[in-house]
Amino acid sequence: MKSKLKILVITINMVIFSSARIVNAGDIKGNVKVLGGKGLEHVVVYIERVEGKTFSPPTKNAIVDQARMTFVPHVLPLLSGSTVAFPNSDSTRHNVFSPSKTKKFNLGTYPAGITKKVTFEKTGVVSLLCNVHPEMSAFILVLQNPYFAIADKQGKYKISDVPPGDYTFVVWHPKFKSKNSKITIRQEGSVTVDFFLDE
Amino acid sequence: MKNIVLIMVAAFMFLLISEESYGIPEFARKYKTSCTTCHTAIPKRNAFGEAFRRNGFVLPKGDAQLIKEEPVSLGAEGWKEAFPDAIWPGVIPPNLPLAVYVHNRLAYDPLKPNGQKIGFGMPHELELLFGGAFGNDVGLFGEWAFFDEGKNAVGLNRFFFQFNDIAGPKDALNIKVGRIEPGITSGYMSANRITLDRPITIDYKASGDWRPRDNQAGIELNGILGSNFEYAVGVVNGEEKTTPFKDRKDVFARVAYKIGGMGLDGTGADVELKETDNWEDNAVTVGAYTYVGNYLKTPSGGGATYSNNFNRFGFDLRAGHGRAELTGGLITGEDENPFGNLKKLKHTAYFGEVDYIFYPWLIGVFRVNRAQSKFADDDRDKYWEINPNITILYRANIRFSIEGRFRIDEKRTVSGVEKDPSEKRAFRLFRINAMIAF
Repeated sequence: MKSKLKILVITINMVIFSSARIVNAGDIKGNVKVLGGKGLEHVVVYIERVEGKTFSPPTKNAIVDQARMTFVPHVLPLLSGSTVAFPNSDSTRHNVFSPSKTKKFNLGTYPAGITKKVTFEKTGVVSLLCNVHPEMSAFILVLQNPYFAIADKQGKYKISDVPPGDYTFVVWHPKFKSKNSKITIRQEGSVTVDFFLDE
Repeated sequence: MKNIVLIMVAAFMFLLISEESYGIPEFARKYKTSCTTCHTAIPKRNAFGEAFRRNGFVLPKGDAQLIKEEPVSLGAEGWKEAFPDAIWPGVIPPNLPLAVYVHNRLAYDPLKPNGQKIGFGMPHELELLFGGAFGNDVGLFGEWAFFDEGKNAVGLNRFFFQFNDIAGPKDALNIKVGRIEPGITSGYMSANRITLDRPITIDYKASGDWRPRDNQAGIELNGILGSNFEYAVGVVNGEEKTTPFKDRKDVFARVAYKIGGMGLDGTGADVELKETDNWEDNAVTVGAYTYVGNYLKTPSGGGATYSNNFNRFGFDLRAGHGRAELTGGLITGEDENPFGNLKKLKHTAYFGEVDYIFYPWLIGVFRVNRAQSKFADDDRDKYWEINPNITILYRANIRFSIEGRFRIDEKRTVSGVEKDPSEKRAFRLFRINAMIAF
């Protein structure tokens, strides 16, 4: 009985310990700078691919609003399979469409108060445009895994709970060429990756 | 003494005028940066300014992130993906891209008759400049003169578009279309100087008509390969005063290579715009060019129209080290029938110039020019010219220059007889100039 209890305690400890290790898997943090210093809040950093795993998209829809002749947000990273709602909160009609190969679609022209939805399966960049207002623009990044983040206005970012492994870590900005870096996430601790985008 | 008092009064007046005219020109406004980002002293450009010009008035690293005056969008970038089912997107400047250049000048010309030796040119020159870019792909530059040489002179000097990166790698092929200064002067362009006088290789009218720096309507292909090699080839109307229109066009070509320093395309420039110590570019650039042209001319006193075929070959050099820059050039050529008497004219002109930056606001220039032209038997031109200049940057956009012109005419052979020059005085001109750009 005593030995069975001991095995049970060890088993419980292992589960707790291993769970704790997964929960506390590595973080990636850093700072991104861009030439001219503008638009840091549009920087997306992400792990290109996590092999051997699939990830379920969130059940709650993401939103790209149309307000004051602008798509809000301007940049939206999301997990493959996610659905985006496109409400029209403006006083004018809009026509959301995308000419991108990643997801070509056209929602047609619709007035204020209407919301239309699109699900994004294929990974890649999707340019959002409005056929009525050619200056309107936004981008959706459809990603393979949930390990991504948008930088803050100072260019700082943090991605938590990344499982251990070797990855290609990518930085993306709508006006610069993307860059990437090879990183290794260990069982614990954090990795710092800084980027400077200048072309 | 009287002259000195007049000069001092004039200089004081310049100061008053300049103080009220403080401002910044169009490119400075666009990027919210100082003139010194691109100019050693307006209008002379530093290496970064030259890269900016070559790039069709777009910053070498691209405009988008360094523009502080947001342009008006003619379609978001994403529309490129919709092409050919949509028009390629672009931008236009938020305001009409205009700037003003003014020269106020006091000149003392000892060769003029008494009573006309001292002259005020206020303005000596007044120009409206257009400059801008429509995104990274199309640049625009224009120059409209209201005053020139102290007289009303309304007219278009330059006006061209440059379409960037037409094919191949970045900067490999651009097309300039409009009224342009032919690319043979790219080593030392007319407006890329500190002095009031120009170096003789771009200014010399060997036969009294065509000269390299004159703006002409035409097309130029230019580009940079591998950051160090530059080329330009073009077709232009040719000398326009005597022959406004003719079917036979002039052609030109220039190649240049730069060793060291900032790349011709701006490679190696600081990523952020730099406003101080921009003059330093430890590099040597050598260029070679040719121009083949023709003009038809009817003598002003009447007579049959005649045709003159001419050619030019030239070299240019620019070498910078620390605060000093040495420039030089040589142009040589032949006019087959410059005066309608079928007498060939052969000529050579060259110059050497040293610029030295004592302080960022105090620059000295010393230039020596030489011109020599000859018919089969007779000399036409044979002289040396010297330009000393001191330039003071009162502000980044306001500069004062004091400049002299000395000329030494040599003995010439005319009809087999060696003749003394008609003018033996070397001191020819003294000028104080205030230049303001806003």
